[in-house]
Amino acid sequence: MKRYRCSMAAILWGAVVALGLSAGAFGAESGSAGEQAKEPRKDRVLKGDAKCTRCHDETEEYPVLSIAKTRHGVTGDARTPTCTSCHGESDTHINKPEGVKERPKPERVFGKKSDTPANSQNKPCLTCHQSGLRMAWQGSQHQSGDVPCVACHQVHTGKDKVLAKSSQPEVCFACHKEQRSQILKPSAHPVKDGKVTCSQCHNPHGSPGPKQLAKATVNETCYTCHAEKRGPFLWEHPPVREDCTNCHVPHGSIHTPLLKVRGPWLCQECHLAQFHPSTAYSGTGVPPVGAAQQLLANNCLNCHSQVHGSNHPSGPRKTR
Amino acid sequence: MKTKTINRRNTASCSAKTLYATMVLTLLPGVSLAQEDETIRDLTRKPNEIEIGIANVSGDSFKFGEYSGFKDEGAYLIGNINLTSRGAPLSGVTTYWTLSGTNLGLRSRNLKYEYGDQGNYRFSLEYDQLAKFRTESAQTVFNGVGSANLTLPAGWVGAGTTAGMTQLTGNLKRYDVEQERKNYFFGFSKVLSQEWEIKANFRHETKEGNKVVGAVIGNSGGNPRSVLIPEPVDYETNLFDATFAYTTPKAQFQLGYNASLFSNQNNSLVWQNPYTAIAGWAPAAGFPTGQGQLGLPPDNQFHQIIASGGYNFTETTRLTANFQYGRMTQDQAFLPYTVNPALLVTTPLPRGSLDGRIDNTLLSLVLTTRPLPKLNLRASYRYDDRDNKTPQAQYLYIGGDSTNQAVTLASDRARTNLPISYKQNQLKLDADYAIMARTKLNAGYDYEEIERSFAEVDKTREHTYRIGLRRGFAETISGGLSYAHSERKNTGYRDVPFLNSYSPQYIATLAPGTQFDNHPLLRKFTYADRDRDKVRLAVNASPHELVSLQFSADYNQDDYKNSILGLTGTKSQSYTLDASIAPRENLTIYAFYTYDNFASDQKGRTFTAATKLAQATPVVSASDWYNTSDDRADTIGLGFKMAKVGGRLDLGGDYVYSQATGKINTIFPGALPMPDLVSRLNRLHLYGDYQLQKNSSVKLSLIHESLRIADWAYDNVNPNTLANVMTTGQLSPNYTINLIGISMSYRYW
Repeated sequence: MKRYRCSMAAILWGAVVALGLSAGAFGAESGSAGEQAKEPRKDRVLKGDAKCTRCHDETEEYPVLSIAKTRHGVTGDARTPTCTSCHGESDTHINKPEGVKERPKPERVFGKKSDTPANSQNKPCLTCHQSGLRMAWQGSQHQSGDVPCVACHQVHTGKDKVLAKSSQPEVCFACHKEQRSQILKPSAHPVKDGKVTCSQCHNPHGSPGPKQLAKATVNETCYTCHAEKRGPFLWEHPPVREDCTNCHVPHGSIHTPLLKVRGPWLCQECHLAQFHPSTAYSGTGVPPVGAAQQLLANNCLNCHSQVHGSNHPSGPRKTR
Repeated sequence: MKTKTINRRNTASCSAKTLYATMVLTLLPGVSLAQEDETIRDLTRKPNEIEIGIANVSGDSFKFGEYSGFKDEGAYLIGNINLTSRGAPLSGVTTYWTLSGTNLGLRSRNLKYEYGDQGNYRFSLEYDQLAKFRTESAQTVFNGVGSANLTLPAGWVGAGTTAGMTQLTGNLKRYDVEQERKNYFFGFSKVLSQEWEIKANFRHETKEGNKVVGAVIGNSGGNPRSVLIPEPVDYETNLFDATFAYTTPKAQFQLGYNASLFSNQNNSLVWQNPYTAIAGWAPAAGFPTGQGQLGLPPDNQFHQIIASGGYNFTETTRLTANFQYGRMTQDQAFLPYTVNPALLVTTPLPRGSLDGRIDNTLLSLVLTTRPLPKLNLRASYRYDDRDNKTPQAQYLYIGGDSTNQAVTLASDRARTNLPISYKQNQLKLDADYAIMARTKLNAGYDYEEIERSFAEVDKTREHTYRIGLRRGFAETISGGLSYAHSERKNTGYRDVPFLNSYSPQYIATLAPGTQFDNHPLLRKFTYADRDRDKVRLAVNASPHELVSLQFSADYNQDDYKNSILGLTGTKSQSYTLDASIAPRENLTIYAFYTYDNFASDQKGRTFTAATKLAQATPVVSASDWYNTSDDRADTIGLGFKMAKVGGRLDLGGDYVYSQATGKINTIFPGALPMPDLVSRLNRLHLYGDYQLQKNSSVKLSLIHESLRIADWAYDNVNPNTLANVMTTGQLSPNYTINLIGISMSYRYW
């Protein structure tokens, strides 16, 4: 209500000032008054925006005019939208029908809590943005979860948070709370430092990969930054070749480097051969009680360091 | 909540005070016009911003500055820029340029320049640096840190174990374990017509530094002689991608090519053996003549073509397709079986290099349709084939540079490489129906079949059933509840890797009933029969206009129901409660708590060569051991933001406490509990931005952070604590650091 009071006050005051200015103009150049009164309102930032900006101007609560700061505000680009190409023609909103108490809303109201369904909100965006990285939007997890584009993107601002490395995680964490906690664990990608963003590994607009990954497979995504682990190797380590997440967790762990479980038990989930691979390790191998070479420091990797695969002819046991 | 803050800030700009001020100003024509111009300018033109200042860090800690670069005590330059040139609104100007830079005074800096003609072409140049500081407390006795050849100091006294190495302690030298990436990007795109566009990107990355690697000499798993040594990292990766895209509202198509070329400046790491020869080694393998050689990551390449497209049959029916064909290759010359020339090699390598090649083929099809206004249907198919075409050969390997080569194939040293392949077929069907406004019921079914070569299991099949209820964002309560149940079964489990990699002559030497490597009752979790349950709940509530509450729960359980040995079950849970309140127009306060837990249960059985046969078959044995691993993390966050205090000051603060605990327990006669792994992070960040003038402000940032880690893998483990492994003696991170930063920010248009 306060907002409306404010707007009403502004309109009233605008009317007073406009009248005052008009009066002054009459005094100065009475002959041209009629022509001036008929002069159409000028567009402010977008072609044809006058019918909107006559009300939604610089006093508007939402920074409507700031669309001019964005790529959507470059009118020289033939692809640039107008107010109505996104919000709809909204005739009844512009010209309130007689007998209607409240001014009808525009055809398309954006926002997470808007009455406009997500698919309808996203429609004007997809008119231009359904190629490239957004090709797989339809059927993606976010699309089928009715997430509107504006849940993540801010359109009327020069700084869209989700597009900036430092602020993107804040946008994603608004829903993905688990990951917000996990990146604080001792072993984590530098997300909180603004050096790795969620979208470097994930494509939130959908992808042919699992978990909306940027690439078609987990490993291909990881190889983008860890190409040294790609191989192929002479002595492959099958779970590594198949899926990095068989041993690693991507968002954070207490076990460096981003391991699901601490060695040697992680290795023993798959390696249970005679002698040391099948030995039961416990606190008896920790100082001051004892010192087990399969437990301390790099545990199994004290010797079997080439766990991602070995290309050494003497490396079938990943020690070379 | 962020949106609310912004809205409130903007609402504040239309407060009564502002309105009265506007009224007064509009009465003064000269002032009002200038003020209005400025307001319009602020709203419609991006400012150029330059921030420069100084930060001081109170102490040394690699962990504190692990990725940010604030690793040493002292002063750092704060430097951030954001410069833009765009045409005025409605000017019709389409050319633009931007120059942005962050962390310019740190080793986490980024600088990007972009120039373009919107709707026509664009090119960009970017530099990005990322250092990773792993530890400052690692020690080694070796000379040549950073090189590919490590030698022992003069006067070294070799011994059979670290306890006998009298020169060890006196020769320990600290070295920094750190790596640094430098990335250079170049991007270009050109709009050819309304429908056609081409894009190309090139990235050159260097990664230099070192890491710690375990380096072993020895021929017996139970009696190795190892050292943890610095491995040089000197990588170069060149990535290139180009796409040719066609776009209309009805159809979109894209053809692309990706290349990733990796090269390592070092192909091996050689170190001098500090241990004297022990029983089973050739004498020359020990100190002073013996050396070890590790193969470092080999040069490799990846080339890929991608064709993707989308077609809208109608406004409510769309098909998208994605086809990818990629080839991974690696053909670096092999290292010799051993670096020690005195060791006898009678059978040469079967080939000079691997000629490794994996062909990846991927096809993804997604059909979405809305046959009724309230009904959405989705069907997708995915085919992922990784065909490993690497040639096989038999290698008569030498165990850890320590012995002469075996002279017979009836040896466990005769091994054939296994080029493992993988093929996945996956079908997903989903439907959701709007049972009322904003509320949808959804159900789905997935079928997944995976075939593997040279694996214990030829094929696994998994069925997943999903159901959920979702209520869209609304003013009061929204959220969703979903449940999924999966059942995976394999087609039979055999120790195929053992049977295919070891020589038939060697296998024939083993007694019947002992012809296996891993215990026959072990089921590797990637292939094991599994029941999986997932439950997710999310509730968003706004009990009051100014209050927002969120609760989310995530529960996952895996039951490897037919695994007698190996991983038998895992459970992960995460629960979060978020609350935020905006008691005043310019104030937001938030708090959250997250409980996160991952627990796993596994079962093993200890056996030796002598007990191998007896322990092979019983379902239960006195030699069985059980292990539970339970990682719990508790995270608490509190914070506030105040905008325009006194009209000029923006203030904020965040506090986070994160405690992670790892409890590991082994149940076995004589076993003792493991000490807890503990990590406690406290971080308080206060920041303020005081506007001096319309175009300048002073910023202050204060960080108080402490981290305490207890990790039994490193605590009280000195380089000579282990008899057969010379470790680094590195310490768990423990620090309390204060950082104060002050900077001036200047804006102009």
